[in-house]
Amino acid sequence: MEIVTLMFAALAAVLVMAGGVWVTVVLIAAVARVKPSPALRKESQPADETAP
Amino acid sequence: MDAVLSAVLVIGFFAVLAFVVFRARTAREYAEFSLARRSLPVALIFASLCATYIGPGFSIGFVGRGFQSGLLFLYVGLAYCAQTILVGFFIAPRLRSLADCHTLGDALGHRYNRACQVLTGVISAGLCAGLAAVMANAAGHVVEQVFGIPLWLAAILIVAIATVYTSLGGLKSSIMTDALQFAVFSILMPALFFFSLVRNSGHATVVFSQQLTEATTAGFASTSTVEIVGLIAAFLLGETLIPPYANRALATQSSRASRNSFLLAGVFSFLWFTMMISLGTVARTVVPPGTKGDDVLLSLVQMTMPIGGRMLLLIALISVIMSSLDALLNAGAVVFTQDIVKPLAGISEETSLTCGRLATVAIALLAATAAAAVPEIITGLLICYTIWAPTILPAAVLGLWLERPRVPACILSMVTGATAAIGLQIVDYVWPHALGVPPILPALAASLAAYLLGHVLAGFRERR
Repeated sequence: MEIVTLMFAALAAVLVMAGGVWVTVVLIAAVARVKPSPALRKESQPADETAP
Repeated sequence: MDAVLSAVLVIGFFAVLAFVVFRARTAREYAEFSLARRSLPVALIFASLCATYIGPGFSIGFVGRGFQSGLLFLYVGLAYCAQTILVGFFIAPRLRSLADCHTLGDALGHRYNRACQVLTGVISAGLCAGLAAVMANAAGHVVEQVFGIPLWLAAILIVAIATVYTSLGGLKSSIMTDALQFAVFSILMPALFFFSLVRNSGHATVVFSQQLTEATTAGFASTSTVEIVGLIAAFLLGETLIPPYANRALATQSSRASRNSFLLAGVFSFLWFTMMISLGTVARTVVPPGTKGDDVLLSLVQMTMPIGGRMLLLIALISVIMSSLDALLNAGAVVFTQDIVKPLAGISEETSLTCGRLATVAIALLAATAAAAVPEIITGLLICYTIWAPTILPAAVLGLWLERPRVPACILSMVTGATAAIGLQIVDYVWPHALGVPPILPALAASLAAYLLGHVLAGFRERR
């Protein structure tokens, strides 16, 4: 039980760190002005599909 | 040598920040200033959302709570996770699907009328200024403790830096710097956790579990059920759809991106709270038992980390606070321009951009001036939450979901909610515990009742 508690806390910390690494990679791409993929560009059209 | 290392780390961080601001570019149009042209990917919006809600309360405050009451605040924090996920599923996509909306007030203007938009704008701008003052106060405290400079000067310094890049680059600059700040603290804080765990707990597994059990038992023993209910209510409702979150929901590329950003941010909040509570638990083996909650994190860092590590953690804490501050400055400025000035004065897009920049500076000045008067970080935040939720939430949520929302219901709900929230807070301040429940709950009930009454009465009138 004790090891599970500590492992859970450690897993949360590792996942938080993974989030930081993911955002760092995306931010570097954004700062370097990497062009978005065609799918992303298509998604960025202002017209939207779910009007309330 | 220590001073040189510290200076290099601090200068390095601000140099990278300046580079990101430079690459984000100066906003040339109002749409760029207010919504970043809706061009930013999910990862950056998610990071910005997390960086905005993770302020001093969810970092310094949560470590202190973990130190004092163990898992209690993790359970309370679950209400916040639930709120963010529910907004992601039910509110954010609907908000995003409204065409040409820049703010929550704009959305309510679409669903009700212009008067409701202006009313929402006034409340939103006031909330942003109030929360920005709390952030400025927190930033001042951190810098004051580390460098020994006066609180007012430290607050002005941090607010000035955030104002420069927010007023120039608008939302894009705010989101990109938020992402950098998120990356900094979400890598450094887990590193501090592992470092402290390995260094301070010889038999890490047993000691950690023992401390956690002791703290949790003490936490539940010292907190009444009413207090727990009040905390859950504040975490569940207090920050729902506040202007920076609404702006980010509207700035996404699509409804799906809006939903995904909020869902990821909700899941991340649970991981973050778990880590902060764990850090507080680890601190119990190092920091003296009587230490004040807000001082636990800084004491832990000072007692365990070498000078380089201390400076890195200072940078992480400054990042935590600045990311929330810049988001509030930008949201306040956009709300002021879009919901108050534009409907009343009908200004052009070009003038709107200038107005947005000037409003950023004005809100920053207000926040820096009021920073010294903020009583306590958590108290300041709770005052803002107690006013926001009853005033805005019923009108906003029902307005987005009802097929034909009615104007009298919105106005009646906002006026009743604001009056009840302010009145009940005064009662609670003058006669503590006289109400028996946290002020946010009766105020919210009054606002909801007023909305339903207004909706039904306006319906009768329409049928006649």
